Amino acid sequence: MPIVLQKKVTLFAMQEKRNNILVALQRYGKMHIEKDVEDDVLESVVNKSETVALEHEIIDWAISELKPLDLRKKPMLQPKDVISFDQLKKNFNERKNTLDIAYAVKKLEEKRLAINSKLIRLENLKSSIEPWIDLQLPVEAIKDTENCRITAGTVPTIDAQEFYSEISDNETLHYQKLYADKDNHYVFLIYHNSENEELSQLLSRVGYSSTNFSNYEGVPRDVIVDIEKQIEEIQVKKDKIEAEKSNHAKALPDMERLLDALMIETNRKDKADDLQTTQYVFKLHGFIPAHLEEELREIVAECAGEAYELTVQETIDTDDVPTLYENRAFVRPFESITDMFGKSKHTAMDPNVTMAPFFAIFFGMMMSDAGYGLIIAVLASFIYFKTKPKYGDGNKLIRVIAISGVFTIFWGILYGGYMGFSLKPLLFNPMQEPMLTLGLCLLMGVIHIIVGLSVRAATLIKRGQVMNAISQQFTWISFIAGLVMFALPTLAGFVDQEPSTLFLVLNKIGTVMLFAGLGGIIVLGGHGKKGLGRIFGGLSSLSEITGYMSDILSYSRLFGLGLATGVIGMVVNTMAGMLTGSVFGWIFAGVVFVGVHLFNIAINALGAYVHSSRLQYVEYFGKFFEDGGRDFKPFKISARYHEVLPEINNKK
Amino acid sequence: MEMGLVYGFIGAAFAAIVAGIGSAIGVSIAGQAATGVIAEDPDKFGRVLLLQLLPGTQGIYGLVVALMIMLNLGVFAGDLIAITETKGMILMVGAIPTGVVGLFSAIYQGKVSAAGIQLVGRRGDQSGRALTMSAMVETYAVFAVLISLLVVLLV
Repeated sequence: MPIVLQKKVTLFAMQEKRNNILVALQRYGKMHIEKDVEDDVLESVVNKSETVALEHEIIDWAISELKPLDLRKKPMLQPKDVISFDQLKKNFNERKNTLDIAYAVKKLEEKRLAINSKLIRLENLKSSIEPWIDLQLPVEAIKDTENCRITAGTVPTIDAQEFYSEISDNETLHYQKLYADKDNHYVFLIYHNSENEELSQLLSRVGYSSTNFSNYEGVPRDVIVDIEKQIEEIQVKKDKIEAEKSNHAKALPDMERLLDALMIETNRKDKADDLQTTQYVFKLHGFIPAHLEEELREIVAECAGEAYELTVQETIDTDDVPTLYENRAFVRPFESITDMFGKSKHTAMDPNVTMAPFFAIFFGMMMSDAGYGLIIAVLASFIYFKTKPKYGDGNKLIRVIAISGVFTIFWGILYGGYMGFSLKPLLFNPMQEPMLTLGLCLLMGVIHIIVGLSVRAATLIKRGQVMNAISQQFTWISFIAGLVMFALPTLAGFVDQEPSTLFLVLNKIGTVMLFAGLGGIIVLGGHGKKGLGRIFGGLSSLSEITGYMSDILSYSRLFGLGLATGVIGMVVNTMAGMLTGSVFGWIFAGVVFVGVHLFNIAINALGAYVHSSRLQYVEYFGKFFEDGGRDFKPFKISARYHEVLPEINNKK
Repeated sequence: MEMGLVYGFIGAAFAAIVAGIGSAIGVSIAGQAATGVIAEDPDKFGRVLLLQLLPGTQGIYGLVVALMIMLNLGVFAGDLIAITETKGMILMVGAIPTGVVGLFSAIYQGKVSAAGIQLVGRRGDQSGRALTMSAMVETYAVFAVLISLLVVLLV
């Protein structure tokens, strides 16, 4: 299936119709509009709308501020609410109210912050005063008199004992220990000036440091009572502000609607800035899927007024056309896997169609347990349908996992794996037939690679390069397929079976294909080269054989990972079985059974996902993928909190 | 006769220990990078966690091979099977690929994962690619497990 054919669109229209046209195209949502500022035929007039951007910012902020206060009950998995474009438009036009609330929230938050810092200041002050609570004097009285030194301060706890023993016999000194914690002792000292010299030496030796009381006045106990009163008052104020704020949380639904409206508005303004304009005319150019040309013409005719010029042309090879895949429901989610690798060139074949079934099959082979598959499929489908928007497409990755889960059930039945228990397999049990399983995995790889080569060959033939397709792809397909058919009887010998006539016939055909392919590779390998290159080209292309061999061996991971899943599952069951017996044992066994199986599913699903991706990227896409495409990004309504219905007449 | 069992158990222990050590180192390398990214952007926890988890699989492979050997020795059936000394040695040798390749591949995968985590830190949309690059390293551990399991299954 080819990638969607695009047509190139160029539109000149009157400046005053610009917004009209952009609104219509945004609602239509199927046209890719190019950024167009380098073109200097027309003079670019930039008129960015700052206010909308500012409003967007403040609403965004207010929502994040109010979100934790949201009282609406919301289930964990929930699709976005559906809203019409016109409703959002209404919200936008009547936004003053909602904006006022957002500004009010901003004011409240500023107030709360100011109060909060005051609160912190008071609390710090309080904790600095607390050790002095037993001091009977107002702190401003702690200053030297004519004959006496009066001081209060701290001594480190480790030196406190030394300090007390040194001063206890000094009669001219009065001291009072007020408080002690693990770091400091808080002491109050009065002594006569005559002792000053000796005592100041002692004080500095024990690390005494006098405390500065300049930041408050009065008796500490009274000060603390006063501070506590202040704190209480502030707390009340703070509570009031917070109540007021959470009251505003009612406006959240309005804000979310407004944010989406603003987002749509901003997107359109940004798009408008990308366009080339003169004073009276603007130019818009981009791409539209070829089959939508008529729809686009109708839309433009409807909203562009009298004077406009619209040209829709076939694209030519030199055009840098963006790539748009269009696939059936089964394949579409797998586009996300391809997009992770890169965007295909628009001239190539759609890589998703052939990749999707292989991805799911390989995932299934690596999980290889019907029970696990069922759990994965049910869980993923549940999440998918719970979160799926009403009209649009749901999460692609979840859908990939769900489909892969179904394929896992299929492989589980073939291999006979059910929650780690081995029942009668439809095909064979990988643990009893490891060589056969390995062969099957490699065979899947061969098929995968041959399909990859075929896609490339089809692309080349479509472009008229038949000779290239034969020399590069068909020879190798013949060689690899022939080799496998040739080897089949040997494989049958591995499992101690007499090769059937079918195998022998295949062997004969295989031999012919093998040598035809081999001959083709040597003779045609130098196709397109000149002189000696033509001769050596064939031989050197034969060396690609090692590349193909390592590609095929890479599929042995299908077996390795599948076995790993199976062994853990089996051992869990055995261990859980050993625990049973008493009631407690059964409960414990149940916990082990459920817990370890879920863990096994999670870890192996991750492994299966990554390794299945790798097989697509390296072994498969390596054969034909043409990288370097550009994403087709339709200019459309995109909103964060709602699913917006564009509601246009000719909507499909 | 007894020695066969001993060799078998040494093999099982070797696979579990050596591959496990590798995974522990790999996960810790990736984990350190992950905490750095989360400090900047806590929303990336999920994506970053997957990347951190990847080098952990080698430890599981070691576990799988150990379990498989133990299964062969009849540990889970209740009665130990008296295997020959040769068979025990073969089981022991079979554990080596998973252990050694697991050890090194987990450490190097941890480094690639750490780099991938930094990539996700800068460009959140690249987590799929980072996962794939990290998985490239794991390929060789998978091959080693495959060989180990084939030895254990076919002996």
